[in-house]
Amino acid sequence: MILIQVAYGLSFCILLFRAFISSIPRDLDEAAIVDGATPLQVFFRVILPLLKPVTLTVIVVQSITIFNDFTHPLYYLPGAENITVQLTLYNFQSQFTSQLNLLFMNILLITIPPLLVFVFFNRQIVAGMTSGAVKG
Amino acid sequence: MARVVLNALRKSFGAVEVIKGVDLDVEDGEFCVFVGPSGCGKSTLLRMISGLEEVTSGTIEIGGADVTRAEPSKRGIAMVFQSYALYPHLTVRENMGFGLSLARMPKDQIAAEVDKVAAILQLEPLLDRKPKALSGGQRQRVAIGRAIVRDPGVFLFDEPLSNLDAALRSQMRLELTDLHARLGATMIYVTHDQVEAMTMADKIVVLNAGRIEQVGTPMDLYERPATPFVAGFIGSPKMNLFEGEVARRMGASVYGIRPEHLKVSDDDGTWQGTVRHVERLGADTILHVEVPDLGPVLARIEGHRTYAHGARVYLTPDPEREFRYTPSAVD
Repeated sequence: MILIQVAYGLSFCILLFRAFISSIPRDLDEAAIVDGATPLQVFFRVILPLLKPVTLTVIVVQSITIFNDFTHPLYYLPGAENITVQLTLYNFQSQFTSQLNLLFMNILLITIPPLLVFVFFNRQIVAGMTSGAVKG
Repeated sequence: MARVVLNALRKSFGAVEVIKGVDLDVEDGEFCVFVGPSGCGKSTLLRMISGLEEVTSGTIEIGGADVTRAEPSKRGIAMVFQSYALYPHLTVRENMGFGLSLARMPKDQIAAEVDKVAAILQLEPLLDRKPKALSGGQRQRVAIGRAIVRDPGVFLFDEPLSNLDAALRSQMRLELTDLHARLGATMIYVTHDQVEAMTMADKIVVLNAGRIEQVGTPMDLYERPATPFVAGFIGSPKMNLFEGEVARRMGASVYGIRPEHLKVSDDDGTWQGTVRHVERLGADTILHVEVPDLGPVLARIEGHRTYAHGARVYLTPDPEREFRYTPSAVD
């Protein structure tokens, strides 16, 4: 399942990284080369540290998407023992009866992990959402 | 020690040849300025010397060694970029020590070197700041400091002052000149601003369309410009140049006279004209005079003299300061 999510998310993440890297001035690479950096050092000591904001954005956006994903776990992880939390919501609904009390309890439980993430990473998430909107 | 010699240097981008055979000798310890209009190839030439741009043909020697195909870091050069190119995620101290840390120098030694250079450039209070917390002039100084720390034989400057305001620019000009005197290193400086070239250089190289137009000291170029291009480029306001029938009547294919070498009189002179604009600069006044047959002519007079718009004036060129170019110089 992890590999499947990686495969689905990769293209979007590459697009984000690509756009961000192209915004890093070429002069920085050249300054590092003149300073004596090898191509690997240019990447790890100059470019990678500058990618921190976009890396955070990618982590936040992808975590939310994957956590909320319903269709892919449904298709690729059949059987009751493998299901993700999103699929458990359907345990409490059926054609003729729905156990609404349990369903809402389940919804509440599912909301907790992202809520915790948001509480702790509030600043980065907001920064990630607006990054790229204005230069700075 | 660090003499720079360029031999028949050429550079093409695809089918377009941007550097068309440059031969140049920059002496050890010289302050050499490349000047020319946008797109004349001066920055490309500098990048070729730094090793950031590959050479199509010809050779580059630095300090007696052929470095045409050498890595930038092996050439004994340091470069200051127009955009400063400071690493935004590092402090001033880390920025300046970056090259040394890549060379795996011990940390205490790096700190000592950085402190020494910071003292020269008065950067000590800023060492722990990030570049975004610095003003333009301070960033510029850090970029220069980063170059000095590496102790190169040759400094390369790519229009380092063009992002600064006018007052700061003239201050940095003086500081760079002082720095050159103190370090005694070879410096190659690219600019499109002829004022920077005139005030700082030991030697000016005027480039035009990928070729060297003339090489000389600032006063050489001012007093004896070899071509009409150099004549028009060096000096402010620029020289009055006349071509065609007008020039032929004066016995040349291009005739030039500087605004400061025209005598302006109310009643008598060689050319009669009408004042179209008056620019007061304080110490000087620049007159734009419309002369029938010649067209617009610039003349410089003392600041306290003034003429009304539309006044009639007479202009007389100083016969010893006229320039007459034959067709061979024009080509």
